[in-house]
Amino acid sequence: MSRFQAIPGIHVCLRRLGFHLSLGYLVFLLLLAICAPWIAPHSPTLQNPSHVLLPADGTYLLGTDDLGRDVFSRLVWGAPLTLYGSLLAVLVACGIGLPLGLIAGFSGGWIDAAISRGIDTMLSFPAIVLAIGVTGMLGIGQTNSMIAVGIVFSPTIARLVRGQTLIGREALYVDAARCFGASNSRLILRHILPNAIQPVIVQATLLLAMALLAEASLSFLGLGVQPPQPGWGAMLARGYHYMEIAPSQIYAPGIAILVTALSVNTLGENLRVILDPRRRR
Amino acid sequence: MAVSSLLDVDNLGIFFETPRGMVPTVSGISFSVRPGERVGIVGESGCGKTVTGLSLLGLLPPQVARVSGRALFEGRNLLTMSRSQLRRLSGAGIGMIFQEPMRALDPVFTIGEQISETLRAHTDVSRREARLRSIAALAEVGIPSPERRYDDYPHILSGGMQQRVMIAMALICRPRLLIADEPTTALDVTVQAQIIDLLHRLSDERGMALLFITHDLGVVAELCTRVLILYAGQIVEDAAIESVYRAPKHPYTAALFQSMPRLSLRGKPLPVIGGRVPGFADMPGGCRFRDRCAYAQPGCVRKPELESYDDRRVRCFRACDLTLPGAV
Amino acid sequence: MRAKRMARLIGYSLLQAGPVLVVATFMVFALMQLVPGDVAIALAGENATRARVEEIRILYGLDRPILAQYGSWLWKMAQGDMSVSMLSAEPVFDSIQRRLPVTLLVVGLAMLASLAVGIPLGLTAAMHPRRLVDFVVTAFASLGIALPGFWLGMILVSIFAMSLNWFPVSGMAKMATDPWGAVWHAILPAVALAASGAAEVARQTRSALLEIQSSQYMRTLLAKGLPQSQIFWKHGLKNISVTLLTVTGLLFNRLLGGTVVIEAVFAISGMGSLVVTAATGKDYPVIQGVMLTMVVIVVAVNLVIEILYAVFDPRITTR
Ligand SMILES: Nc1ncnc2c1ncn2[C@@H]1O[C@H](COP(=O)(O)OP(=O)(O)OP(=O)(O)O)[C@@H](O)[C@H]1O
Ligand SMILES: [Mg+2]
Repeated sequence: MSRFQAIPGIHVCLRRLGFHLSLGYLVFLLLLAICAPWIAPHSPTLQNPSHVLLPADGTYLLGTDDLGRDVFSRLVWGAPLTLYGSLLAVLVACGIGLPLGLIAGFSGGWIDAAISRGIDTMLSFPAIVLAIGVTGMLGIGQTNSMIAVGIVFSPTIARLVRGQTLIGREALYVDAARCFGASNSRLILRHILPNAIQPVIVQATLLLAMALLAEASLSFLGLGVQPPQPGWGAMLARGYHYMEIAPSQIYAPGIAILVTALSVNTLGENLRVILDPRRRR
Repeated sequence: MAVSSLLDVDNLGIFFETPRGMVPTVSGISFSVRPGERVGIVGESGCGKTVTGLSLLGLLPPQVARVSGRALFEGRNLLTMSRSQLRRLSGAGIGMIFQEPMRALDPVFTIGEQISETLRAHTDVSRREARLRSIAALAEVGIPSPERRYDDYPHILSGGMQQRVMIAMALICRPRLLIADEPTTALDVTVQAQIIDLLHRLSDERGMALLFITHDLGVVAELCTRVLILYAGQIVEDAAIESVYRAPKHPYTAALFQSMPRLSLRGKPLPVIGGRVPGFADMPGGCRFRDRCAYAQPGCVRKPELESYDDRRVRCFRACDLTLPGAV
Repeated sequence: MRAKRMARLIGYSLLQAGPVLVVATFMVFALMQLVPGDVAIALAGENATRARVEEIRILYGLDRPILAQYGSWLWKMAQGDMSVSMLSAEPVFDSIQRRLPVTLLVVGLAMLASLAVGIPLGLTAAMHPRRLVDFVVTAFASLGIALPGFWLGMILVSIFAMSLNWFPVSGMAKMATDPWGAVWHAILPAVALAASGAAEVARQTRSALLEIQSSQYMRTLLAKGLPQSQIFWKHGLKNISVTLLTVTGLLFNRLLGGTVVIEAVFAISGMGSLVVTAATGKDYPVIQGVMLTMVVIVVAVNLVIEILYAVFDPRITTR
């Protein structure tokens, strides 16, 4: 029986390690994104026809692409672009989903039925296809495509907030507050929203990872970040053509996407545990 | 004594692995049950009744629970026997029923299937035969039109009916001992009485022993012949029903009686036991009840043993000199 | 009695799917409202004459109230008339009909792979909680979920198609004349697509089995003395199949979306490349046609799953 004893310890330790590593990486990435102009050794868009597809060396840390641009600098400059796109999508998702969920959960009746049906229906579309469709209608480009992703993600938030609002509405303290004549908007703002916000934070973090992957995908498809801007997905699209000659062009951006998405997911999973009300004493 | 007893638990201890280390939840539990005897285990919520019952059939979560001590059933130690031996005994020699029948039945199989598979796991009977005997068992526990109910899924039955199904399932192989963990707590009062009557009747008819876990002293009085009072993971009193009701020897037992609703108390507030049960992680040494005890003395900081007085066992230094009010 | 219940459930599920389809088609239709500026100008092209714009407006019925427009649009769609591509002038229905099988082939293979890999992994992990296998599976699942499928596709191409020459680099064989060639071409894309699917399935399977194992009825089964194998293969499997059905439905939706990006990597002309080209070229009828097709397929698959669900879980009733 004692052979069980050591293992939960390792499990917990590894979990904590993962949390700290991902948190550290994300802070690093954020600083990198902010300081990109000072960190990147070269211009991300400057073309140099005599330095095309060079391998990595001291000047070009990750080599150059087919237009002679420094891959490392493009990777560094890609960080703020990618983060901007993903955060925009999550903000849009929350901006639409929060009010919709609150309204649905709080008003009930046919309004709730209508919103819920809409949520269900939107979730029946394959997410990326819906995002592509909306992007196609709005016009391609990073901002439009990430607004589209935000719209597509909003039902997830709305559904969550609706559920939380229903729970909150049933709660005793809301009844009590209502007895004391609190207005609906006050009830929502002071009593229901604060209780709904923690799961929303967790969900938004997990959505951020999905938005990051969506951003990369849409840019890869040419619907997001437009050339000559250095988005990670766009770099992959370009590098794919020269994969055999210059593999670093697909490895570096791909690993950047993977590690960032992994870190954000790890952060989200840990937040879920940390913010879980059942865990708190 | 050891020869004539069906179940003989000796110095049972249960530990849980928690983030704050190994916590002893139940310790030094010793008692025995004779064939056909009905024994109640009574105590407040969290005192370790359920884990005691579960430990006997090895049902505690293996990742976090450690069990020490000895529990002889018909002379064989339940705590050390192999998985397959224990499996053959579970359901056949010892049956068990639980508090929430809805959650204790598998939702995606019919009740008939769940009863027959129990029978077929322990005896070599055909499907047909198992079906017939399961229907008979359903009839025996008072389920109307059992042939039709056989193919029903658990969720369409009422709580009382579900508990009857659980009983039929636990008894289909005619076990010598039934462990019942608060089988009536989730049911309403009239149904509760019916289930108690049913258990009483079946135990009488079959000479089946019963280990009845509850926090309701009233139910124990109706059903059992002997009662173990548990406090904070220890037995504090073990006595025949009549004597404990007439004259409890442990202050905690007396306090339990005081906090029972009675007609004579109508209109007055119900006395409650003041203070809280200490946590298992920071259990005080000495008598575990002393901080809440009206009769505590300085000497109670020493650890009391469960000692025999006449026909009973009590864990209190003052068991001889106190005269405590009973329930009658 | 069972047959009657099933019939009622099927009828009920169909009734449920109806409104979803109505709302979904309306959403696809209403997408046009997102087009900035005058839709008629957008449809006619930027340098069309005024008269041409008005002609288009009448032709597409853009001068009528929106619900009326929706009604006639839906009626046309229902008859298989999805109008024509603004770029290639090919009827949208025809291009979809040509490309859908390719996409479904890749998605189908990826579904099989995801379930075939994900379920055993999830079960193994849950059967040894907190042990090394569990940790490895959980770690791989986290990795798979964060892995961009199209990037994995590129790496697969570079290894298995370019270096080892085991698989074709890109393209697709004609399914009608060379079905095995088509499967051959679809394998790498399906693997790239299945990685995240398998990860998700493994995770869901693991947590579902863990939940079942900690349920009270599992305790009852042990207390009844059922053999371990029977507890797992009979009770565990039937209970988990309910979750797995839900997972399968979500997986299909996910993979159908994911294939859009994968097709670009492998230069497969399926639904994905169709909608991407359309989105880049503002080919609105094609965008609408693809989205409509996909949502109808998803709703149909979910309908089947709903019905199967009721077979496995007796608690599901029509209420
Ligand atoms: N899996 C577990 N991990 C850690 N501690 C546990 C676990 N299961 C039970 N315990 C501890 O064991 C103690 C006894 O629990 P048990 O369920 O036996 O109480 P009980 O007497 O049956 O109470 P109730 O009347 O509420 O059913 C509890 O205080 C609980 O903290
Ligand atoms: Mg209990």
